[in-house]
Amino acid sequence: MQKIPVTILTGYLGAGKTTLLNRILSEPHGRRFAVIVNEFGEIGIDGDLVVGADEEIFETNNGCICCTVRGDLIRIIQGLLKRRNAFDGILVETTGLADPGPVVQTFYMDDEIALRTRLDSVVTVVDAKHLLDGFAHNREAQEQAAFADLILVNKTDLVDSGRLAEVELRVRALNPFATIRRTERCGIALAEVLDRRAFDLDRILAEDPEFLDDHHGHHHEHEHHHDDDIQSLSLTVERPVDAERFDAWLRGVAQEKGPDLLRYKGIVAVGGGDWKIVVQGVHMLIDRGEPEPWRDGEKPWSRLVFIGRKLDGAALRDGFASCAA
Amino acid sequence: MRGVSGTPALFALDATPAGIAFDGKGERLAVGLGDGTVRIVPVRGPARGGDPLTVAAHDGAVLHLRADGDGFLSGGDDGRLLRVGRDGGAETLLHVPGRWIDALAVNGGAWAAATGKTVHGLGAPLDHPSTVGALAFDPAGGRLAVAHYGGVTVWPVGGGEPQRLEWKGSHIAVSWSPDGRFVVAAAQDNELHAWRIADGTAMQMAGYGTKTRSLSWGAGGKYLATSGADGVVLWSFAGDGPFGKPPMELGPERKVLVTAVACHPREALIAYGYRDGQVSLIGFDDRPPVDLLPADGEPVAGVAWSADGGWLAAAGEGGRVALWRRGGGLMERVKGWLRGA
Ligand SMILES: [Zn+2]
Repeated sequence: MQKIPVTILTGYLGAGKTTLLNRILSEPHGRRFAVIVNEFGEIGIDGDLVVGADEEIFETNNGCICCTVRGDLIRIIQGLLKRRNAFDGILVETTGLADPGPVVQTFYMDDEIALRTRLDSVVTVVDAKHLLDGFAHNREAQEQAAFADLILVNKTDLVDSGRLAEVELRVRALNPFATIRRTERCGIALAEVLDRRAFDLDRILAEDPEFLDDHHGHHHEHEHHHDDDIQSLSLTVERPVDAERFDAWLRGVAQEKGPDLLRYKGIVAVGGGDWKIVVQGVHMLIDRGEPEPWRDGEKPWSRLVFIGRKLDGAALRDGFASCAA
Repeated sequence: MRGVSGTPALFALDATPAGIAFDGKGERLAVGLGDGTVRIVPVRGPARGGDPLTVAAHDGAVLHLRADGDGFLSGGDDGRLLRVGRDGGAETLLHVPGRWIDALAVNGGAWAAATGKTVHGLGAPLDHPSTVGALAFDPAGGRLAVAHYGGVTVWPVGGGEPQRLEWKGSHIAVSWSPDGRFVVAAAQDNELHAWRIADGTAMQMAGYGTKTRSLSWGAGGKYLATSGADGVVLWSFAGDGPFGKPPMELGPERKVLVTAVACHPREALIAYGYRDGQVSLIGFDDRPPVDLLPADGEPVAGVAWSADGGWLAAAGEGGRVALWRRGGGLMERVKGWLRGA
């Protein structure tokens, strides 16, 4: 069964995500999209198949606050799949205040949706002028950037280059694995937005040369920030790890800290260093690949990046190090 | 019908089936499709052998289809509920612009349909705390069960205070036992919840691999067959119901999830379809199933018996529809098999 790609578009109020949405819909790429929007009627959407959604967040029966899905999306996507011949992809526009977590988890936790769709990426539009202020005051603005695979720093024409550099540094510190692009009026080649396959385990490395680069993350945890601020943490072990011990440790971290972990990705060397395992996660959900040989040019290091709140750097670093074989 | 004994008549439709049903007399089979049409196949009676009728019913997709006397009710994502007659004529019963018909139930000429949190069809619209996932009239037609987040609300059709049956989680399918003593609802969390109406006692029926979407009562209402596991999960509702009794698992050996089940209206026989498209028949016992239709990679969307049990139909998400008739080799073979021959 052909899985239909899904792109999630997020962004704080006024950042320009509807501009991006209309750009995707109006450019001559020959593709047909079904669009799920939350802010019906605010700005016109140009597509043929546009469905309004009322955010309904459902807890699952484990009672955990982070193990939630969007019931409205499940229902709407199941309905849309009845006319699956009418479109090639699904675009989900969230509200400016939406937490992307339940949206992302819907595509993993609902078995029927996972069978028929493939989450391609989370694209977040941020406003270069208001981002620093937004990050300081809005939990959701940070969350949306933290969940992103692609971040458009939009409205670059409204700020000077010093401010822009500051904004990018802040975004990079919060999310070390997103691709960042500067845009005016969301002007970006659609090839960069669509078909990113950001949730494919085998694309984690290929798509992300910065991921194995050791420059990000470390400096940030020493900065002052509020308790509730999202931060990122990069961990490295320059020796192979024991696969079973690593699995057990990561599962334990996810179980214990799941609500505070937004996204994480890792590539670890196993089997004496000849093999690698790729993992990614959202809250308590862990997606782990099978062991496979390293590709040419890859450094056989064990590397893990967490994006989350209240990350205990020392405990996580010690825990990861204790997985060394 | 060119369908011959033992082998089904096969139709390849160019859209995704949302519902499949025989009319009350078993003269016509209808399939509601994602392209907004309802296709009506004459099965027997004067029109038998004629071409399937295509009714352009909805501006969008059919989401729900039910038999209603000698015709059908169809609910679409254009917010319309239609009655489609045997001649293909369509009459609008409800139109809520900008919404979808999210759930539909029919009973002896009465209907109820949900758009979002609201149920229409029982006098004044009835509102619920969350989007309605499913609707079911009790067999006597006096009560309507409304499944939603947090449980099921049971409304007296004639008006009055509802009974609230509570269980955490989102409920997506609901059914009454034929004796009206139990309500069973399927939840998003891969489990069922059953309530004894007399005292509201609830129980959890867990162990499924995916959501249960299909519930069918067999053997005069003594058993409930369910989809959502490898093989058919059959719960006994004889006596006090399934409280404290494990279910039977019929035909789990294929290790493929079952997506649709339909109990024969009289005999101890269940037709069911798998996620990979295979359709099979099994009894209420340990004998291996009879395979009716090979897998084609597309989940079975629905399986239905005609009211007299003489015809069986199945529809797959890829548009494959199969129709078998009794009296042919296959049904004879099944009857022989049932007798242990
Ligand atoms: Zn959780």
